[in-house]
Amino acid sequence: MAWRQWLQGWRGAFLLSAFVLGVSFIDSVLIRPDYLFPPYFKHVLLICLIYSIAALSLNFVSGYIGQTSLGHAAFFGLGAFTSALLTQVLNWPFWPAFLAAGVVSAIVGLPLGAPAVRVRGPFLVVVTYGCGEVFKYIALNLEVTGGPAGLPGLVTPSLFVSFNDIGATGKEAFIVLALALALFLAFFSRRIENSRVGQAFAAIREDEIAASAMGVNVTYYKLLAFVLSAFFAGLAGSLLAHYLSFVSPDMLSSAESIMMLTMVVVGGARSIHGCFLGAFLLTILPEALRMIKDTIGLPFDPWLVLFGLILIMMMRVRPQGILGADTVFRR
Amino acid sequence: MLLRTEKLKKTFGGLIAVNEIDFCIEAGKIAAIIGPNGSGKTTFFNVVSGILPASGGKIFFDDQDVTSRKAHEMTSLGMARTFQNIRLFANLTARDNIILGRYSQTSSGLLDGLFNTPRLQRERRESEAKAAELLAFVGLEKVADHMAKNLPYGAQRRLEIARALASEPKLLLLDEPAAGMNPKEVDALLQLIMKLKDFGITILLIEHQMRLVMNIAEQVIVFDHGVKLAEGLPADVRCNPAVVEAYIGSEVQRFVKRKRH
Repeated sequence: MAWRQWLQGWRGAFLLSAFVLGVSFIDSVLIRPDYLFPPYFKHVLLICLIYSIAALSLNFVSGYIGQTSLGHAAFFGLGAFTSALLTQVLNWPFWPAFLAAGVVSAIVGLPLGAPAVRVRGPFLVVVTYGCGEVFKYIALNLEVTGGPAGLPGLVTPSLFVSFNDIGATGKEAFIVLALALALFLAFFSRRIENSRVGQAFAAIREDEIAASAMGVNVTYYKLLAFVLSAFFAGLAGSLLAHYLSFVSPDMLSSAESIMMLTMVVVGGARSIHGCFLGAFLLTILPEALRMIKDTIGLPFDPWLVLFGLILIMMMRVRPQGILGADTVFRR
Repeated sequence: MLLRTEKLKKTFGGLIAVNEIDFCIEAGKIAAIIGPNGSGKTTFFNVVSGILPASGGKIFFDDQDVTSRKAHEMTSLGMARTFQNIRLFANLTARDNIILGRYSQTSSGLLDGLFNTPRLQRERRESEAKAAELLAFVGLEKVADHMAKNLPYGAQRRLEIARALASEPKLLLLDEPAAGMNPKEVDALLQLIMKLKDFGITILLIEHQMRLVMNIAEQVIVFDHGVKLAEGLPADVRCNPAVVEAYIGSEVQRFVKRKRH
């Protein structure tokens, strides 16, 4: 279909960048007190970008090697807590803590990827779900992570000047950083798809025994997918933590993991554009619905009802996701 | 000796699937393993190709002890195989299946991918050229861009052989290549295997179609209940009373003999 081809390739990246940068900086140029784009609008845009990074990173595991993971928020939250603790307890500046968040996530991703070497399908879902919950309860019960209250008052990143002093609302620099990371990850994913590593991933997704008979070291590539996935999720988590200037164990909850997996599946597993689409859709929809609910005075939040309906409709009508290829999961 | 096993054993719990098999095949030969269903032929293949670990005994490939090697290591040493129930990458195209068959012949990694290095580009070009060549060799050039799962059965079998050949093997293991084929397709397969022999590839196959086995095998090994029942030239094995008994049972054999007298 024409519209799908139109979204493919670099045009999507240029359009996204133009839109995001436009929204971010037009207010700063206009110099007017009543913003053209309210800060809330920019807040939602930034959250969309951060979840795009999370979805793209989950795509390594749930898209490329076709292993359903319900523990992705653990890596996300682990990155958030790592950089929070490094900056607060050890007084590290933001940038090294940001990188360390990715590295620590990746190192923890290695043993968490190990079960995926032996179990698959529904069993792996249970294992990853369990691992995610373990991390959540560790964060809830340790003193150093602040217990249920989390850690408030994280440092604001700076590049010569504090991120808060850039742009009209103080959110612009975060948006640019998130956009750069998301675009890099999209580029990286595309390059991997076209490389020998991408071939190995495809072989594992299709048939592990045949893959090993081709000479593909299945253990190595499965762990590689988990490590890459955890690394980028850790970066995204750190970025969100320092933007909100706050981390809480809620960032590690299974609801977050389910949301991230849904973004990948609804957008289209293995589709880079699909990950962006899924993240934007599932971030903007609940926000929009909350606004509608407030205006017309609904007594309940219609989001979860709609969420369930979307999932049922997707599985019925387009199980491969909106922008997905013909088949998503191995039959 | 290209491949040699010494007292090779494989057990699943209390079941002895392969029991102390001594076997060897010389380079350049075609050997066939025959035997009733459940006699341990495919298990023997799986152990030799490293997909299942051996429970005892030793495997030598090219005079190297490869007993504890994994499947992906065996492929890079020069052993390729096909499967009894076709195991193609169903949602990839025929061409991509063969390019994946060349995986062990290429070596670029994650960073080559990220920077799209000359090595990756060269390997991609070489793999594509090799894939085109192999597709033409097995007569599938017209369906190169079709998904493997949409190909007819005979084409899938040939594609699986082409994929195995892509790794440039010294030894090719074929697990029931003629299963489900009509006589015409079996003839084409026979021609194909003879061509492979001319390329100097050693072939070990499991087969039930006696016409194929008797025509091309230079050495036949008979399995029954996990043990080697007989070994030798096709004509000798065919007359071996133990083999006949394993296949059609002693009662019938007695019946056949009585009728002859």
